[in-house]
Amino acid sequence: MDAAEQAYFRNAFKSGVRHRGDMHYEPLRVTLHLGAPVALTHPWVYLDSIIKHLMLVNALEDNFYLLPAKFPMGKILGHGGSLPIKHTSGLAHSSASIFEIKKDGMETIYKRFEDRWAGGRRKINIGSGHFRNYMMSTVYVSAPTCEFYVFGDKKLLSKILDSLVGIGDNTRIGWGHVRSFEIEQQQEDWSIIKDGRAMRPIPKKMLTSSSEYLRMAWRSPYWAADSVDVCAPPGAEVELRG
Amino acid sequence: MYAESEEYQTRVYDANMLISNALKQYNKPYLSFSGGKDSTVMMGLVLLQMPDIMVLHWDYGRFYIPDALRGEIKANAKAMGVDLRIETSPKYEELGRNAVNVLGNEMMKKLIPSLAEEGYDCVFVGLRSEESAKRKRRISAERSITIINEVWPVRAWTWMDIWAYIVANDIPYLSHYDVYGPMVGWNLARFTTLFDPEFDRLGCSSVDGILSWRFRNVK
Repeated sequence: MDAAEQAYFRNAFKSGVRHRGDMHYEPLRVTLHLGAPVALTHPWVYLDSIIKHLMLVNALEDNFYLLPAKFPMGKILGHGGSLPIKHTSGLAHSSASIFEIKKDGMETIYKRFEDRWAGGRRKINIGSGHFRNYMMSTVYVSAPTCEFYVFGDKKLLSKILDSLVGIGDNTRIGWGHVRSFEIEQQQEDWSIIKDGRAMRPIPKKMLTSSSEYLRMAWRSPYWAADSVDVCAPPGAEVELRG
Repeated sequence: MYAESEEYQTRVYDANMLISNALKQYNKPYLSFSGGKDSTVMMGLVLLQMPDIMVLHWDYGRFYIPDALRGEIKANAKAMGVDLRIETSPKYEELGRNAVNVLGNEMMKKLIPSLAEEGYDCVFVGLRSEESAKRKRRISAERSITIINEVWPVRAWTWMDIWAYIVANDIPYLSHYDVYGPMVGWNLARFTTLFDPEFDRLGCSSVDGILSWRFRNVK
């Protein structure tokens, strides 16, 4: 992406950001009611990344679809507004997903060429390129609900989640459809730690101890290599520094 | 029990015959051992007839195979009385997860010709027709992809035969199968390099991302 493109998206983002002002953070539980199994490429889904994605889509509108894939836009765009989830030193106060799993398994997705895509062309290469046929395995979990514990602003979270269609991978073909959601206030904040166990990846530098350390992404975008650091994974017994 | 069936017994007999004939036909055979279930079973069969056969293991390095599994491969071989000859390429360490087609360039093009120079004239490979159409065609055409003649003792075996042999003979196998088997299916669970870009098109990295998530960001 060149400088002119970066400036274009930066300006579009700044003018499109709708959420500004003070946030009222409180312990919350967000429950997503799912209408279809969730396809996953990682054991967890992170609410902070979903929220940031939706904020980006809302702010950029149609420009969002011009963005290059797998490009960490955060570095270019900055926060540009108020986040409905509290962050401390970059760490989102938001737990990893907790699925009420009824069944899990693997499914194979087949992409096959169909005549209607030909657009009048007489020869189509189905061995490579845009029309390439493929079969791909995907792991899914079938769960009626997915929960997150968050320290966030209920009003803004609710407004943003209104536009959430699905979670996980391949939502475009129906996986992970979200039927509805509810946000409830909680007595305690379980967004980072619950009963001495990590509820999300926590970087080692923020901990005095952990029962396990390994390299994993701890902030969004969770697919980006520079989001990876030595962390306590969800479920590890941890003690926060300070 | 399936291991008592005639179908299974016939396949074991045929495999033993293939091995026996190859040992008569060739002077200096070796065995290719990946650590997976097929090559482990084949190794069990071959060792019964030639306990001192050279067993070669190609190490894909720590970026593609978790250290724990690499340890298991060695331990399983040792438990079966084998002292592995382990070969690898420094490219795996240099390139990490960008190491693509190293097996073809380093093992097929360099190591195997050097083994031929050492006098090896036959290799036992745990290939099965059932695994893919490509392998089925290769086996039925009796086509070796290296300059050393290949023998596939378990060529006609099904996944059921493989597991039956493992269970009936108490053969050690990789814990990888206990993780992938229940999710992927015991018929489809295979031991391959993890998070390998060469298998991305099949969605393997997505499956590894769930089942081997601890190994995703190894450094």
